[in-house]
Amino acid sequence: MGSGIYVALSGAKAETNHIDVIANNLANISTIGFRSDDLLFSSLLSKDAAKMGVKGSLPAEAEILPGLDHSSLSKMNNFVQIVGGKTDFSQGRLLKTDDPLNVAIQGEGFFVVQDKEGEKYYTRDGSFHLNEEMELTHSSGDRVMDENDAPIRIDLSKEFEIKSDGRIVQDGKEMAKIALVKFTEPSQLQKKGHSQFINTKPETPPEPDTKSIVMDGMLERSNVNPIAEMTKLIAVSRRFEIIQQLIKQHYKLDEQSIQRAR
Amino acid sequence: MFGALTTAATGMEAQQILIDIMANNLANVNTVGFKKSRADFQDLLYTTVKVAGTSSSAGQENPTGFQIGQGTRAISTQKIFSNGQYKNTQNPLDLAIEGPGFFQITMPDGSTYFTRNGALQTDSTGRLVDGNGHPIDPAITIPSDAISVNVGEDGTISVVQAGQNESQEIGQVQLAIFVNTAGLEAMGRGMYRQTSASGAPILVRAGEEGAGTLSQGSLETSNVKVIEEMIDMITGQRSYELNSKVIQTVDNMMRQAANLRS
Repeated sequence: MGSGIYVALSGAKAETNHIDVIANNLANISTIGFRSDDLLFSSLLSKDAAKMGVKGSLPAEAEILPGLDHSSLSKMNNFVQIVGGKTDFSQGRLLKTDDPLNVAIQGEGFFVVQDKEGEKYYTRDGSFHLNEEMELTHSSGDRVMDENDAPIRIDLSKEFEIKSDGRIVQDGKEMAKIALVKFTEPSQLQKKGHSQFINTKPETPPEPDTKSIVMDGMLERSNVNPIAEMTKLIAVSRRFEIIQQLIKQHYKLDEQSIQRAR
Repeated sequence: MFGALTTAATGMEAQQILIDIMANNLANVNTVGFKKSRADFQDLLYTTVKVAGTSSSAGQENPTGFQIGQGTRAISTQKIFSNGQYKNTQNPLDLAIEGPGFFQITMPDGSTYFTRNGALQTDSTGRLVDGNGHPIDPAITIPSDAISVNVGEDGTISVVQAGQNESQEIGQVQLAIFVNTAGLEAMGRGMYRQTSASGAPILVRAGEEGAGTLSQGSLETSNVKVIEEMIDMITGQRSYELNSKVIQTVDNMMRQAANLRS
């Protein structure tokens, strides 16, 4: 029995993961501050795997095949492997809401929020509101941090204004400054859900962002491009179809070999 | 098998909520003092298949992680308090607030609600009441023999009584302004209630401390802009379609997989 069927299977598995990611992008087309995801595929050369002789370096399907000779695969087979996800951090379009507690970032910065356990997260969703202690909070309920990692209290008895650099000004006095940070390597951010990101490399903390502009009374829309997602969706479904055909072909070939052997 | 199915379903649900809100906005396009609503969404939790920065094989690091999202959910709706259009009615008891501010209405249980609907009337005792018959606060009574009622820009109400030549001041309409208007809770019938997020009302004369001025003989229409809503409706409908296409595609893929052994 040939191993090509397993190569096809690895492709089918990758395509199902791909469609999951596309579905999530399209589901979040109206989510404020959402960043779209894509997948990175690579071919896993079985030659390399055989050379290394490491168990686990081949897809599981190949491993379970008894008596599979790695060296014989080396010349032809490329299994599909997902290298990782890639989040598109490009700017989303702005939406005017006129709500003084809505802020959008124009630039590559992030707001810093902190949950009850003191864990810090990063977000582009500036649909803020006030909690019962009059602290500025993210829509998930986590508090928004100022430059000195302290929660921001807003006194509602007086008019306030959020300036383009994140300063909150009341009566001509600066009350606090909303922290804006940026990552030199945004790929170290991992999605947490609730429009928040986790820094997966705590040893490289973000640096203060002075370039980004904070826009008051605005929100940033999702940066999902429906046309790109639709195109990907069509491509995925066609590739899946081809893979199914390949599997069928293999099946037929096997059938013929068995009949000939009789 | 496919997470994409449920993910796309959450996306369709989100667009349905958007359409529901839009329907309510459009239904109230002629409601005096109506303020349109907006929905906020968040992405759901992510399944992390591969964490960024972990080692893939001897001495190598995955530069990016691999996460699969599970869709979206609605978290809140917000009122947008931008000003509506003004229309002239020539009715002396129709008052429009040109700028920020709310009329105060005393409810039967003694609590105070706030409204932008200035279509006032008098009840059997001559008290100024709103369209639902609730008196405005502070209470103002128009004498039964009043020939004409005049409301100044600052809310001063004066009347000319029968047999008199000069007008007489009988009261003052007070406006309530809020630092965070978006924090008000909508109670229906164009009325709002204060919350911890809106802060306490600041009572002022019309035209003072940032409050709008009063315009007699005109009404504020809703701030729903039909074109904007229509555009949002088109994008909402198309987004719904996009998400349903994902479901169709997944269905196709599953059918192909099921037909592999035929």
